[in-house]
Amino acid sequence: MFVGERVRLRPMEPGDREGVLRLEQDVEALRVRRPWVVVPGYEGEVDAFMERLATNGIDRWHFAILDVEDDGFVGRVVLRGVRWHERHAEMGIAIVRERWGQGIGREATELLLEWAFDDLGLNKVKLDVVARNERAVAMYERLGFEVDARLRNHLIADDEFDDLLLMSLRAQEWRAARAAS
Amino acid sequence: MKRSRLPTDVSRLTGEKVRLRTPVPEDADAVMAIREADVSLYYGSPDPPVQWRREHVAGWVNDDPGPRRVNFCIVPLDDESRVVGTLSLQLIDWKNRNTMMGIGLHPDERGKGYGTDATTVAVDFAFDQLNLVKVYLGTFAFNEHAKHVYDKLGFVVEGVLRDERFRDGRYWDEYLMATWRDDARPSDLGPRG
Repeated sequence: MFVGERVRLRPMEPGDREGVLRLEQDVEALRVRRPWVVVPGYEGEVDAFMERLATNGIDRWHFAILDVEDDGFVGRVVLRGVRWHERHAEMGIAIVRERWGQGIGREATELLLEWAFDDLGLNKVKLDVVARNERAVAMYERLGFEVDARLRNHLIADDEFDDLLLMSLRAQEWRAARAAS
Repeated sequence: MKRSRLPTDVSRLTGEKVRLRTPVPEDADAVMAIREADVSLYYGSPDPPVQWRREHVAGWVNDDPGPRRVNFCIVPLDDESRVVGTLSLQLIDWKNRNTMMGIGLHPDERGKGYGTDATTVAVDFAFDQLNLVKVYLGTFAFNEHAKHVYDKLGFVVEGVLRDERFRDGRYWDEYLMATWRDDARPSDLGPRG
């Protein structure tokens, strides 16, 4: 569990602060991830986030994504907004920009999904992604996520409207896809 | 909009049949009755389906909802002493200029056009006073009446959240519907109409 060929997931720790700060201050990456408000994260905000990690574990879990070769921080992934009576949760992921395009996000997401479905027993994992982030959308589709809703003109980025895609993957579809591969 | 004199209804919250007004503490009993009787609220709320608590209703009628939400009581123009429903514009996203609408109507007050009128007033308020460009909402397949009302008002289905709500021993799909200010551009909006 939590260990893949290229990366592993580890519950986030105070020592991940610099890595998180780097992700949140990379303006070029933010333009891709959340282009509707491109504002670099500030240190106090990241400190407050790191403080809150101590209360994780009821309805949200933050993980650091580490390179299995050298244990270097290459990103973060979160399962949050768990609604236990409906057995749903939302996921979010960010990879350091230098490591984009290497399949790291895909493998980290697979590790998270395996845990969410097989260990937590969730029924559905959801996410949202801005339509212009085509690379992310394609990755989620390859993992079996389907677009449930295309929210037209839901975001304004660079003085242009953009759509927000709501995607989800249900446990039975994920298991069927895994059995087939 | 050209204006030659001051408007008489400053908040622009009056329709043809109903008026929307800010809740006051005295509304608590009426709001509680609507919460308990309107089954669409039972299915619509993402919270676990437990009975409504009086403290929550007291908070709804008393507290400042903060900058991202507006709460209204729906009162009929021919008898403003009655509260027939509640309406909220919530998750107001000022940057991206959209809001989610939630509406509850007492079952005894259905079929009188109150819901349709209140929705029209709220959408106009969101566009013309709050300067938003999109209003969206969620509804369920079994609530055919609500879906018909929103269709008639020009809302379109944007997607279906599969198995979104668990109630009565099974999952239900939620329909997302939305309406847009028809002349909307990201910024530099011209006059409407």
